[in-house]
Amino acid sequence: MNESELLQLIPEYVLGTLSEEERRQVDALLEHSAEAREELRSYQEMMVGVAALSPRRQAPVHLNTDFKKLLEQSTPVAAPAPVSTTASNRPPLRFTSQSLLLAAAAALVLILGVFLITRTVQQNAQQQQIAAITGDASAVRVTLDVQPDSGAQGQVSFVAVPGQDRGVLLGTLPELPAGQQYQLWIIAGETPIGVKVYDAAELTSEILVDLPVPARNFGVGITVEPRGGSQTPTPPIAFFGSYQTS
Amino acid sequence: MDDTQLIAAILRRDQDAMVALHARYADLIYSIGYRILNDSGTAEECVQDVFMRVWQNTSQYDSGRGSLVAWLVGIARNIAIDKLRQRGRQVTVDDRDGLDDSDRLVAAAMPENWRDREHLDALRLQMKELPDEQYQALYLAYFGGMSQSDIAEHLNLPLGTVKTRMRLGMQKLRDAWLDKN
Repeated sequence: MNESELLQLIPEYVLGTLSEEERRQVDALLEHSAEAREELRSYQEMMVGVAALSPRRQAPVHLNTDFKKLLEQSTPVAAPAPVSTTASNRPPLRFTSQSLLLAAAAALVLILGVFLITRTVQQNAQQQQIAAITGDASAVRVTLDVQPDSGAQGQVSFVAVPGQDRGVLLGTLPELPAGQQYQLWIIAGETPIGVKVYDAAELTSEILVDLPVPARNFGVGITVEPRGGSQTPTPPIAFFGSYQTS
Repeated sequence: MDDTQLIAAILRRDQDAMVALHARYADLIYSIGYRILNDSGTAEECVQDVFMRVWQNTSQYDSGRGSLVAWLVGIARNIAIDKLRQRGRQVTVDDRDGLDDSDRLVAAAMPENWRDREHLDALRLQMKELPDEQYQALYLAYFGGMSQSDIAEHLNLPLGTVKTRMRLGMQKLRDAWLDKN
């Protein structure tokens, strides 16, 4: 099926009446076609209207309280497993100082090895994710402009693939005094959300950033904050850019 | 908080935000569940299942494909239809008389700032004007979860006819929604 024919299937896609194969093809179209995504969006929003034209039934009030309890129960607190061995059946423990030293050395080597392997794997995974984002043809790149009167220097850009929950910050910034750090903010509503605190040295390579909302139409700002970051941005904003996908 | 702020807070695992989302849309989800299942107990289960799924799969929400409320409605419909099938029941197509009394529609319980409220009247009028055969096919598909071949068999019609009716009906509703009429 060509793109035009697949576009015609979007109403049925929304109704859920397509075959598995047709659905798969529409999914593939949606991955790369902004027109198809817009078409899907308009039908989905219209179906909210259809649903909102249902006869009104008031949900019982206790559902909200019950849900709160369900939510609390759904977040288990990890507790250490109890040790059941009793003193009476525990075998006697005898160590020499030499065997203790050897065991400690072996444990240290093991921990160091695991740490190095884990760090390498994490770094490789991060580099792959950064490359996937910056190399994606649909990625949107925003230059964050130095804000007037902020006195800021440097160049910073933000890149993210629309709809994804990760982005990449890249550029160069001057070093700050020891007690200060840069903080990245995403402004998707009225309240800016602090997403990353970092030193200038970290920005010599790209930084992978977890976004609080999927990448779509938000502001991206950078401020200078006390080390460790702040709950709300401290004026003046040093850099700002508008990430727009539509 | 608007929906964008709520989902951002929920992504940060803020339970209070999740409870606030529940309070905001429980009536809508319950009304959809009841419309499909025609049973208050199962509609209540549906509400809790929907919001628990949102909590567990928040990162799957893609604002590029629609609003948060559209995502919620899609989940609600899927869960309610699964329950309908588990009980081996079929949805009953309602008449459209209820559309005349807008105060008794769940739209009246939508948040004040629901941005699509202004489109609703055009959609309501178009739903009333839709030919019976198009309305019936759409209703059975959307609220009954029936496949096109099931509908064709149910209505004793050729499959092509059912497909055409659905497509035409959906296009008319969408055009009304977008104020193209």
